[in-house]
Amino acid sequence: MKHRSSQQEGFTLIEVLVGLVISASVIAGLTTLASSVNIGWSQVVRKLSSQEKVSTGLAIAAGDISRIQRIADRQSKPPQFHFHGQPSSITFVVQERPASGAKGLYWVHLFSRQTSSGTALIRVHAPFYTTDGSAAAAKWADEVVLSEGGFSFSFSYKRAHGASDAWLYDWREHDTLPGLVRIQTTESRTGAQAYPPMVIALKVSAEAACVNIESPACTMKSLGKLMSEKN
Amino acid sequence: MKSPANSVSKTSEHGAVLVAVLWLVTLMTLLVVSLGGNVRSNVDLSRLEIDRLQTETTLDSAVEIAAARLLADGNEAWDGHAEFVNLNGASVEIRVLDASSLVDIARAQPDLIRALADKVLGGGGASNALADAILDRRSTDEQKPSSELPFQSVDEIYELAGERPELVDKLIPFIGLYSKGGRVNVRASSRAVIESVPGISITDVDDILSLQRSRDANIAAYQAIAARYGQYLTAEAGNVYIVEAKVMGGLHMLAGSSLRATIALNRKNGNAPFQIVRLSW
Repeated sequence: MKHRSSQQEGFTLIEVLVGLVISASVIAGLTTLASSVNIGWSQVVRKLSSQEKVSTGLAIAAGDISRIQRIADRQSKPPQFHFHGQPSSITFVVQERPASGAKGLYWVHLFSRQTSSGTALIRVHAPFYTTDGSAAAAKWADEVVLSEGGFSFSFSYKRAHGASDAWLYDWREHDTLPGLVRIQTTESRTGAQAYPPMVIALKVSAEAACVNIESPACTMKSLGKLMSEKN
Repeated sequence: MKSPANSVSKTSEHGAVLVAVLWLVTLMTLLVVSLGGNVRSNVDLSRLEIDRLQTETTLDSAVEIAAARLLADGNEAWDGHAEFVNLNGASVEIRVLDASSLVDIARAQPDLIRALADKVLGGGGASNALADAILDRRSTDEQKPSSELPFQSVDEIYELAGERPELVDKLIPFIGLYSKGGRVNVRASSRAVIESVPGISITDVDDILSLQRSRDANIAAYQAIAARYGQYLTAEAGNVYIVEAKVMGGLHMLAGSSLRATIALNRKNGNAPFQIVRLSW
């Protein structure tokens, strides 16, 4: 005779309880795992995004610096280039990017500024007027944050000629332009180097006056140094 | 013999195992997709950076190649025609223009500057005003030593055009600061520049263009015509050239990227036989 035992018709309370405990443990484990994956993923995304921002910002700065024009203030005694290099900022004259819609020569000022989220690398520009070519008179506008986050940026400069191989943090040789500019990126919190330093060569190395190499306004024969006019 | 109860129990167990397996598969898929996305973003970022650097290096190399060609052959008429070279696996278009084929705004005869502005800008008040502004800048600078130019960069004329930068956009392909004594090199100059020479006859314009088309290095023929307009034209090349390099395509290259460099040659200096005097986007 076939007999269906009531014990075989379903789960006992104990079995259901054990099952629930096991399921809860598994779900808790999975949730922890998913959460840690999510945290890791967010960290990776943040890091990538920050790397991308720094990389793009530095590429823009490098593009500007490599195209620095050799424009001199020949009225000053002795004559000096329109260029200022400090550890936390750099100011120079370039032809603006076509995409900016700005035509002609522009002052560009790159500097780092403290913000709530760390330090930002900022770019501003101003039209360059030969009649009043001083950076002090420039009307800075169109601020662009090239990079922002937990990084600090510093500039240093190296001579194009001469025996000294040192990086200078303050460019005081106003009658010449540096040959190389370096941008160092460090972690604001620890001060440790965040990325390898970016070294940019100034590609413009002679003046328009060099159509006549003998001209005193051409520095090709004076190792890049502006010479005073001899009347 | 299998009892039905046994069978029901086995089916439930299989169902639970199936659910567990599905959970695991879903979880692992999510992990793999996340990992893949992470790796892909990293690789894309690095590749873009490498492509950018490779393109920049290729364009710099193209300028150096053009400079080497110029140093090797100073006698060719560099009129800006396109040549293609393969560099780093990329096809690069290089154009070289003798910068003395442009009208020198610092040294050219005033009537040539006025005539060029008239021709390119269509005459009228605006073109006269721009020509006057250029010539005014020159006269203001007359007190300065003769070696000092009134312009240090051709881009300075945007400052003179004030609110009309579009006028300069039209004029700038025809002007420079790089002539020998203010005269235009007739061997490489454009039709617009030749036709702007005050008093030039139609026959002489046609003869010059025909000589240019034939790529005939008949310097004597050019010299004969240039001599008739001696204060405006010359058949001599200068030492400044405009090099335009453009990446047309290639593996790991940002196609369409270009570089425009104005270079000054100094053949006597073996260490640095050329220098860049202007670099534009």
